[in-house]
Amino acid sequence: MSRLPDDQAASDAEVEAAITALTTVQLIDLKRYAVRKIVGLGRKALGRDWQDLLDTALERTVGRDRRWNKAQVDFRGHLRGVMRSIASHWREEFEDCEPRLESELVRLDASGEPRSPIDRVPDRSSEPGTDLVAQELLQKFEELLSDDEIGLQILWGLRDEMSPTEIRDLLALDTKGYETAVKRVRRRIDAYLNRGMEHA
Amino acid sequence: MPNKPRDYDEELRRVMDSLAESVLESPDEDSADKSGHDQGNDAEEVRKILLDGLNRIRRERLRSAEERYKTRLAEIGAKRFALPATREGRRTLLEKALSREREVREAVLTLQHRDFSALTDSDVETLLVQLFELGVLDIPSGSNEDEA
Repeated sequence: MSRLPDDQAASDAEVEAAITALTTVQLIDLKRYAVRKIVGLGRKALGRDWQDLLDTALERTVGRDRRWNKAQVDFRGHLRGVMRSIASHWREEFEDCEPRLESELVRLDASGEPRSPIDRVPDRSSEPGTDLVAQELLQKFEELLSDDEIGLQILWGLRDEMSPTEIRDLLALDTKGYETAVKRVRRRIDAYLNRGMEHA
Repeated sequence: MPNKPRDYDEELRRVMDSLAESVLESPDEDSADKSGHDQGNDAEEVRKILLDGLNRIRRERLRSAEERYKTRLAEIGAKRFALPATREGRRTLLEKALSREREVREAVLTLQHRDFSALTDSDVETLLVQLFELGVLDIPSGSNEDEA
């Protein structure tokens, strides 16, 4: 990505003014966006939380990496975009490192054969749920939507990588009906995640 | 063929990313909390994270600039700055330095002196020290040669 010319990038003072001017709704939206991205990263977040994601996005904004072009996008939209690319980068970083980390664990056994501690872990295909946190969360979401058949179908559709149009067609919903149902899904999941963070 | 094992991490990512991006355009209505939970506190917590972050970055920048300045001062202090011993040697050194740095030459001769030959010996020495401190002039340690 090419660097934004200095005359188009917002100054620190403009960033500060934009933070001060963010409305309650916009601030909550940023928090929810960060929470969703972190929950979506799961173990790939490596213990980072939503505040780390938001803070890193700000750092990139006032640093030299991802400066804010205020003529192109509002501050909320900018921060969302930066958080999106940071989350994606963290995921890639984890996926790039995972095989190497495993290989670093390999040691020679008494007979000189290479052995990894991972060899002792049951094979994933024979032991479903090695990524139990993600599995548990998905089950919890299903429970949250157990009294909302449409919401549940939407959850399954998103889980199975269906596009909104495909889900709408499958459920015979118009755009408004679909958006209303997605909103219900979001609210229930957000409320659950929010409670979880309060008790963390 | 055996069923492919489910990748729950990936499934969770798809759900959460889809929900995150589904409110890209119009967060306003959706962000209104119907549970009675005080959103004002949550919102101010987010604002505080951003403002605290901004202030922290500013402090780090200042600290970093201060460290660079101290390093530069230490470098200058560590270098043994020895001017050429003779008047002609000092003038030659200044002339050579200014001929390499056209912009500096223009600034020096426009703002302070119209003519290089009009510079006093004291002007020459002062300019050499200033150029050295600015990093424009690099005199080898302990140099007192008449030729730079």
